Amino acid sequence: MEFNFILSTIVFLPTLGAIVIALGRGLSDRGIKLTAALFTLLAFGLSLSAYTQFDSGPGTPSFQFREIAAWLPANLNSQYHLGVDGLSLPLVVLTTFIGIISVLVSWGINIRPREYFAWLLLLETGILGVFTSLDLLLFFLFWEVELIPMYMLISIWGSGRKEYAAMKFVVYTIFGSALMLAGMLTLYAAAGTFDMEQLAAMNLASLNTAIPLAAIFFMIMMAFAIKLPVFPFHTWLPDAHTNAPTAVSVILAGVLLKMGGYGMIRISVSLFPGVAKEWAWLLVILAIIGVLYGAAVTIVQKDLKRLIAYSSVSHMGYVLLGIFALNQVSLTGAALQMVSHGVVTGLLFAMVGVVYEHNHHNRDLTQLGGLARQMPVAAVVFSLAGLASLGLPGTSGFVAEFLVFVGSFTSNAFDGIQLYTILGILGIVVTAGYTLWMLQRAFYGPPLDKFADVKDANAVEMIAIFAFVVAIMLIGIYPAIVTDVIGNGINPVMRFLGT
Amino acid sequence: MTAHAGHLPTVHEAPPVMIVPMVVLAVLAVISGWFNLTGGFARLMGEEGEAHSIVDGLFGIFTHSPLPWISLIVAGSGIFLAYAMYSRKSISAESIGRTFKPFYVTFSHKYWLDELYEKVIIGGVLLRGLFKGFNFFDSKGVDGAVNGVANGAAGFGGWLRKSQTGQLQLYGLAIAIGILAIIAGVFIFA
Repeated sequence: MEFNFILSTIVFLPTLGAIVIALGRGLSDRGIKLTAALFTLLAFGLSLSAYTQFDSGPGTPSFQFREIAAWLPANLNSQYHLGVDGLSLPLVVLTTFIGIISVLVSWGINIRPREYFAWLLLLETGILGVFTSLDLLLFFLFWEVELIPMYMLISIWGSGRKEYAAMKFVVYTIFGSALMLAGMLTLYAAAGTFDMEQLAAMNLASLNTAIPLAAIFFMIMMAFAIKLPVFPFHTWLPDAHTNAPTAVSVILAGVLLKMGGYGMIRISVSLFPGVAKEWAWLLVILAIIGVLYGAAVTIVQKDLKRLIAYSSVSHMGYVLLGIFALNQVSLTGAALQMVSHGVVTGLLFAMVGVVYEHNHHNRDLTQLGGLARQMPVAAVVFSLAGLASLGLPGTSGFVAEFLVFVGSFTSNAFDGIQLYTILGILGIVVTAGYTLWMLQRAFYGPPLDKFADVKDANAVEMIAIFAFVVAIMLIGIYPAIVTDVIGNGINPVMRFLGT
Repeated sequence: MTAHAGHLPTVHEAPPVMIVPMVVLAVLAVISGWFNLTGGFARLMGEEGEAHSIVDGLFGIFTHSPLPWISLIVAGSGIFLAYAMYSRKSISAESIGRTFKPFYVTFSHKYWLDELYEKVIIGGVLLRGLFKGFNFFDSKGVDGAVNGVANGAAGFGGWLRKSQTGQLQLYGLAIAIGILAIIAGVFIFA
């Protein structure tokens, strides 16, 4: 009946591309790249079309484009159940957008391109699956699928301590996944279903679970906290970013981290509203530590890529703050911050890649300088991304952070949240400090002779980075294009919270 | 300023593109104050102020407290001093600077506020102190704990591995101890 395949097509188009690339023996290197670009572009086009068809008016069902099929023994009560609402659809579009961009920024890959692009496309399927699954088992499956391509991409095409970083990423994430699976199974044992919608409609507090509900909440939350990441579970992130190839950094910062934030809203808050309210204070404190501590550590980094990686820790703190302020405005802000951070930090990592590739593989801030002379376009786009990252009005970063702050300040999740919000706002000052100082050290000052032969971004890179700029400005100037849709996803969450 | 005056190239008037806007702003600055002489502008903006005469509006403020007089006198003597020093050159700026050396140095460094901010607060306390400390804590403390767990697991496995000696007698002994433990467990808990 309600089976219209558009989501499955979006999710599995990249896999199909990966199969074509892996098995298409006759493809040249260029053919491989074009195939990858074609499949990711198709997925992006389809997700855009779903976005325009999505009905976010009042009274519309929250989950649309729903697909339900049995694929496991019926008595397991787990189905192939896909659907998107206003929370997940923007993230699906973001993922397919980052998907095509990551193919473009990988245009210079010459080492084993067949495997590289196959893994890259498989990775996209994993992420898309997480955002569209409405069944916990399916969700978990996609959550795990993403690990293998990440391990291969970092450990083969990375730089520096790539094996260490890849292993750390996988083991750390699996540690969280193991707890999440145990939590989900405990929940299933009591509730008898893996279906997220049915679980959300139940009152889980009345169930007779083997361990307290709060323990299940934190077991599942652990996986999301590692992914987002939340202080003190963040140290895999700078290592993974610093040693990953550019495209993987773009995907990692652009969408992978959002799986954590998405999981928190979709599962932690929606299924466990009571526990979430009870423990909001703890998570908000961790959020503020993440914002301030992350920013403080960012400012002393000397590796350009490591610096941007640490800035993600700080920015994801705002997402956590917005989610656990448990307020309509703050949750909308958190969802928008995920999209905004995806494009802003995606662009920042793409720009680091451009600087690194054109600069004899140098990204040490103590050695860079005056690059605006040799790469004027890169300097301007990098500056713009930096300004969006510090939340300049007119860019997406401003709208998202503003909503988070307004929502958190007016929240009544617990007493004294206003104080934490004010502390969080102070993080913006440090953000301005490290962003402007970074731009100054890399691009301004006297031009250096050793960089005299450096070239500006090439045509393919230009397409990629200007696509990001358009997205940042579009959301910054007309945020309703996203927030209207997000509202459709946040309203049910507010109902679960009983407000 | 004065110490370097002799080294400056010939000072010339600013070009019209800068002069004209400055003149316009200066004229507006002078006349804009007159709008509210009688309290008319305040009333226009919705303020419930009482009307007063032009004389009152001009000089009324001097009757309330001595502060306007003091500031006028300070400003006036500053202008006079500058005129005497740099225009008429009847007072030597260098000798004043020497006579009041502590004041001169303090003022010319703006109470060292910039240095305090740049070198001590930002450079010292924050960058080299707190932020660097956080960075150290992050790599040694937070990440150290993560690596410690990993190394601990590997170390424990390395130690446990030694029990697999390949000696059949040892395995037999372990089996015997295990059976005894199970029997003891059954007797105690059953």
